[in-house]
Amino acid sequence: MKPSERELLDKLRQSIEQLTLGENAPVLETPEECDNDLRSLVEAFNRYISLVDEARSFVAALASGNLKESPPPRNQVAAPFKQLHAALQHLTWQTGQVAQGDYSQRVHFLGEFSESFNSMVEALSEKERTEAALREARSQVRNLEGIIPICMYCKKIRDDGDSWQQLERYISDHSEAFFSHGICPTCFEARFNK
Amino acid sequence: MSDENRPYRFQWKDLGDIELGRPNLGNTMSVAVYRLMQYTMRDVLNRKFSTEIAAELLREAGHEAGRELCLNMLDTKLPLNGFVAQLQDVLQSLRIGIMRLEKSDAEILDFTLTVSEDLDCSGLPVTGVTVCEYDEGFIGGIFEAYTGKPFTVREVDCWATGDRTCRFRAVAVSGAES
Repeated sequence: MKPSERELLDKLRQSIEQLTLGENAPVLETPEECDNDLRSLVEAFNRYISLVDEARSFVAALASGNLKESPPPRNQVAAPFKQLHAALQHLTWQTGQVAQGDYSQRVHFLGEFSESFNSMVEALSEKERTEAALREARSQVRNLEGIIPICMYCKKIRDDGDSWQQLERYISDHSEAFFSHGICPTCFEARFNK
Repeated sequence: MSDENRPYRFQWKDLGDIELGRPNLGNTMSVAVYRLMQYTMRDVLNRKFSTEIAAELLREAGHEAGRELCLNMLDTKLPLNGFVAQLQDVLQSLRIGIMRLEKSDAEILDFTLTVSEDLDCSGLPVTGVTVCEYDEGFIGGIFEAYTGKPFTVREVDCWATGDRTCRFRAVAVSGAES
């Protein structure tokens, strides 16, 4: 082996050590006169570190929450991170939809996150349904709030149209309540046991 | 050739009564068999015509399939958000793939979506060439049948190019009605 080839091999070993330490490794240059097998090895190594550099820069952006950084195309070293990027992009879209009140979307096959997210959307949807029911109920009750004009003798109530209605009819029309007629003991005594 | 002179035009009923016809083997089969049909078909089309024409024919077939699926299996009266949720469910229940939206612009009808565990390509050897022309047509056919506007759909990333998930961008052709 020529001294230049031995030197190249040594650089290659150092570069691999740098990679294992998470450092960037420089592209290696082959001397003009070099064994073909060694040249092929160095070229393959250079391709690999170029892919690692690309992947590392993409993952760093991803880790900082930057989803706008496009995944490097044709880079299999970064493939699982591209999958993660796609999942995060989808979750970002889903969250945006929920923020706009769209509760029809669900997240599938993203492990525990799917369950938590879908439970949250269900809960929000249920909360909205409950609030709507509450608003509806309150709108019914509100009709019986405030001052209600009532005849001091016959107890009829004056409605918005200025006509007088039986107390039972008015309350039934303005609430969810209905009346069932009976006789209280005092009235029973007064009417039947004179 | 005009439509009237075509010897065959697909109709949904041509799929037949599968329950009646396969009482024992049922409605499902191996993904490998589906791919066997698609990739041998692609091979023949490549050799008889060219890779470009084969891609275009597969895209056109996918478009027809997407349109028919939309008109026969999806509720096109739903608002966009509900339609997307329904589409996601149907693609999943038919085991076509797991569709996920990444971006959507309902104004200009511009969608970016991914399909994971794709019926056509997930798990294929990495060749460096996108292979989902049928899917492109399929997605375009669905959106066109729903919106009434033609769509341009292109696969941005593909499993076969080492991207682990297939990403598509579907954009309505501005000003055009189908």
